[in-house]
Amino acid sequence: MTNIPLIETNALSFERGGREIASNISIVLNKGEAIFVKGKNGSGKTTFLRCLAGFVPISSGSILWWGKETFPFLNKQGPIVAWLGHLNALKSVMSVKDNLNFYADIWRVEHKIVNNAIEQLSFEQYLDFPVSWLSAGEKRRLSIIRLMFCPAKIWLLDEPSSFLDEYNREQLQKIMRNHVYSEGSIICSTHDDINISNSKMLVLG
Amino acid sequence: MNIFLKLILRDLKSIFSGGSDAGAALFFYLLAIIMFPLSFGSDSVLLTKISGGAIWMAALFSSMLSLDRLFRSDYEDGSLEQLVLSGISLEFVVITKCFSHWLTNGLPLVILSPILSIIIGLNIEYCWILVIALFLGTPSLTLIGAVPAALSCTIGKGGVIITMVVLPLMLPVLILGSGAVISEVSGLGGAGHLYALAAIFPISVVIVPFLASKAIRLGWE
Repeated sequence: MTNIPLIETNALSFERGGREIASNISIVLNKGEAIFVKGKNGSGKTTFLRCLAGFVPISSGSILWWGKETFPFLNKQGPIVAWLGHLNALKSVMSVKDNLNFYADIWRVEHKIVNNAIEQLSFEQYLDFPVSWLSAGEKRRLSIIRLMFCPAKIWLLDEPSSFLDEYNREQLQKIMRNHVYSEGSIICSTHDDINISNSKMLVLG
Repeated sequence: MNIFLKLILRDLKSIFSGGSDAGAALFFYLLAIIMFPLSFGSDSVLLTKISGGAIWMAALFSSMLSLDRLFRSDYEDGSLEQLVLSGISLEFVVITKCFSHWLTNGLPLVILSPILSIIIGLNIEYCWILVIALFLGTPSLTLIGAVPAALSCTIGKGGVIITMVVLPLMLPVLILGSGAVISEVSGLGGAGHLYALAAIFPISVVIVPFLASKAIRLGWE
């Protein structure tokens, strides 16, 4: 069991609107590892991550999740991957606290862990605000807080640093580094240079 | 079950803090029914005849107005993706969405209908059949509308398109629902219509979650 890679792709190809945008991608993601996906705009970074999350069907090749061909969507224990895409998945009419508590409830996370995450990104003073009052960067920080308390060990991040300022980009790097040190795994598409010791690079396009 | 309640609570919270036009749809129902006596005059015999159909028409349009919002906000802000990755099946999410839509649209329509039937001139002794017909029919209205709602949120625009797809699909419910009231008023007894109306619900509750989830998954591709 220990040697099965968490996610493994073999000669993976996928297409968008009948046009093949990337082919022959082979990666292996192990415990405590980060893979950075790079490439210019339109090179298929987002689609690649959506394939890995099970949203987009692949055209050829294979993806193995824990050695199996089907994505474990129905996991009784809770989330298997933490997903941070272009969309923040926050209800704009609900308060920051309600938004976070909802995910903490369905993921069965203790409130202590949630509060730690809130403190780390210094979000305490916004808790009662409706999300619609926040700026784009603040919404992003809020979804990073949700990412931090998500019990899933695999993080799939699609340009997580968009809208963030210099200081918060560094915070994000620190969070990602901590996650890898604590045996978590990350696949992240990004244009930034992120220093994580145990990392691989995948260039698309 | 626990997750079911949490999803419903979240929907209700977001609806009551203004994230949906559920209130407007109810208000439309009230206004539309008040329009009928105004446009048909005060001929009470005529009004008694048409009242069942009028209330059903108003209920149909009211639920259609709010159906457009059923999945749209959760689809567009990415919440559905997060829920699916949380180990909850999309079919289950569809059921909870439909249930909270019925709680905020169908159920109020049922509760308001006795008062409205008096306004429109339906004889008070036929109120019960209207209430039962609406109670049996409104869940099916929500469920049948959920599939076009899922389709329309994935193509980005809704409004008119959803109306055109939904209306023909909802015809059986409309015919049986208003037919129950009309045949009861004319002395034939509406029970037969009610049985058929009740049969639509289990059929749609089995089929709809799969169809609506399929539509949403196609949108993600």
